Amino acid sequence: MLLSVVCQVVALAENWGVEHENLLSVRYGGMWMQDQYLSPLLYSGQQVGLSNEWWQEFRCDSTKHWENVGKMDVGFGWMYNNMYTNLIYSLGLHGGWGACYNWHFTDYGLRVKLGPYMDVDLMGKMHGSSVNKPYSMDLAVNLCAMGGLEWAFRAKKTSYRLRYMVRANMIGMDYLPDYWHSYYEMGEGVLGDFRCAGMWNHRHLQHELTFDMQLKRSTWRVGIAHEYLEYGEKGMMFSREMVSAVVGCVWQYRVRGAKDLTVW
Amino acid sequence: MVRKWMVDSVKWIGNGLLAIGLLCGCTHEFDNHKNTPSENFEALWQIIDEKYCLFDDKQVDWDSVYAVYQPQFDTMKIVTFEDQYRMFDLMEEMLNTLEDGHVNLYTPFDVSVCSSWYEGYPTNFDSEILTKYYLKDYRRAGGLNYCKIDGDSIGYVYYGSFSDSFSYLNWLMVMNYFAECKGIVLDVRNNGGGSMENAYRLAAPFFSKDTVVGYWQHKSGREHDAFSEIEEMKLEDSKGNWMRPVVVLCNRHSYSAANFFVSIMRYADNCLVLGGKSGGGGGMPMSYELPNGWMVRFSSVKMYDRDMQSIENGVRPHLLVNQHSEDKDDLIEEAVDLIYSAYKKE
Repeated sequence: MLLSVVCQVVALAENWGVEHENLLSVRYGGMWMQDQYLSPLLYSGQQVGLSNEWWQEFRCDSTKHWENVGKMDVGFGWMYNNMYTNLIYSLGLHGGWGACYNWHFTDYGLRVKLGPYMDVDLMGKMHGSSVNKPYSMDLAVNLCAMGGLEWAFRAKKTSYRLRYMVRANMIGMDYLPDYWHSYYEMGEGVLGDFRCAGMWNHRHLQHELTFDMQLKRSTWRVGIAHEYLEYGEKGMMFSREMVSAVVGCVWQYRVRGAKDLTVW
Repeated sequence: MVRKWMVDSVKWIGNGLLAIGLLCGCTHEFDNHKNTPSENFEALWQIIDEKYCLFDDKQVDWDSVYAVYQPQFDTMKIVTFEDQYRMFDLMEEMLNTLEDGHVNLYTPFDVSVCSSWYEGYPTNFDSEILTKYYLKDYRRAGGLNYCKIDGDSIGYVYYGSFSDSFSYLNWLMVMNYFAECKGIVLDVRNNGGGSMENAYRLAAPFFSKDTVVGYWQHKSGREHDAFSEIEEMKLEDSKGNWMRPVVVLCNRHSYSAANFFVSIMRYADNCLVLGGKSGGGGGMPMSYELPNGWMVRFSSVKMYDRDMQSIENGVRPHLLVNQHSEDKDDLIEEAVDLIYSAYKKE
């Protein structure tokens, strides 16, 4: 989160006079996980998270077609196996930056977004009762394709915005532990545990449907988010799935010369 | 018109989201194990078959074990809670054919234990004698219990579990306390093991130069003989050495990390190992889950001494000494004599 704030301060300095949109949100929902390095079983439970996302136009883009987006996210999950005999904790960190091209359909208040996104996805996992194999992690650096639809409209003197965004990895690198290694050997030959990853062997899909509404002077967001990750090799399968309810607050501002910024 | 288009758009987005969610859900190949006695048996047998590292040492024909036990699980049904106990007992019986203290089954209601590896060996340890005559007024530094014995001329340390951690500072303070002593008796009898890090830490002051103290290799594939390259286990010069005699006491219950500690102390400067044969446990354990959520622990990393001998079946001390007396600890007395005699020789 601190990094997120620093990035935005830098972005502000670089983009003086450019319109910014910032979202701070929390989420809560269900989580399913399988990590066959730790266990052959499916674990399911709950997760909470805190996310900071920002959108801003590129300074040089007078047509307002291009905007950049960044995101920092931290989440914590706890899951049991079906028999409730063991527990896995997870701590996830996600950071990414991308750019979107916007097609405006102003008559309908519609925007179509498409662009590349680069992210780092890290999730540490701890098995509550494993001997010498208690830790594992998902780690990947991905170049993703990002797209979405945004529809802004006014009703009863209030601005609303409905947005659907989807992001899927295209190509990158991921980490796979050696099945035969205990935790103190996981650091050995780390470079050998990284591999080229893409849609063919590492599927990571994140999408969310959100609804922003203006309430007096503030703008609030509610939505649902879904994340699915699946990859595997060496006889092991790693996957996780999260479905979350999202609640957040949106700020839209211009550092200088702001005018009627709450109307999309 | 516009309103209809808006409604259609929302429907389209909603349906798309649902479809993608369902599609993702369908791609799961999660949890393909069934929780039945026969599948749990298959999983347990397979985990050991593929991941256990000591079949060579144990000389157990694991396929014949399958042939013996598989029919019993095949006909088993779990209806009552008693059936769970029955399944547990049968699995325990199967696992105990390996005679390995590191092979255990953990369930919410019991833990399987193998005792055959220490049965028939002399105990060589009496905690009552120890606390009555030696460890009377002792100090504690982390997991180390220590005092001076024999007129304050010998330092005595009892370390009962390598799971009880201590810092290197703890250890240095203990040795500082023994600064005027002629030697140290380091007692790891009835120490069932714990962290290897503690074993290294405890041994470090007795090595004045970098020393290879053993080797290890882990399983690297499903076949019984699939192992990684052999790697050295090295103890580095700690720069804070104890240069006077040290005698390590062990018995059959010195197991796992304690067994490893006994093994490496044979290569230490001015050290003698005394007592009974240590317990073994030379395969570092790992664990994995069965479809019913029970956890099996098993040896997966094989350890050797410096002469490339497996330490799974225990380490023979330099001097075999058994406990006979009822009012003194024969092993401690022998260790004290050895320390004095080392000075006489000089």
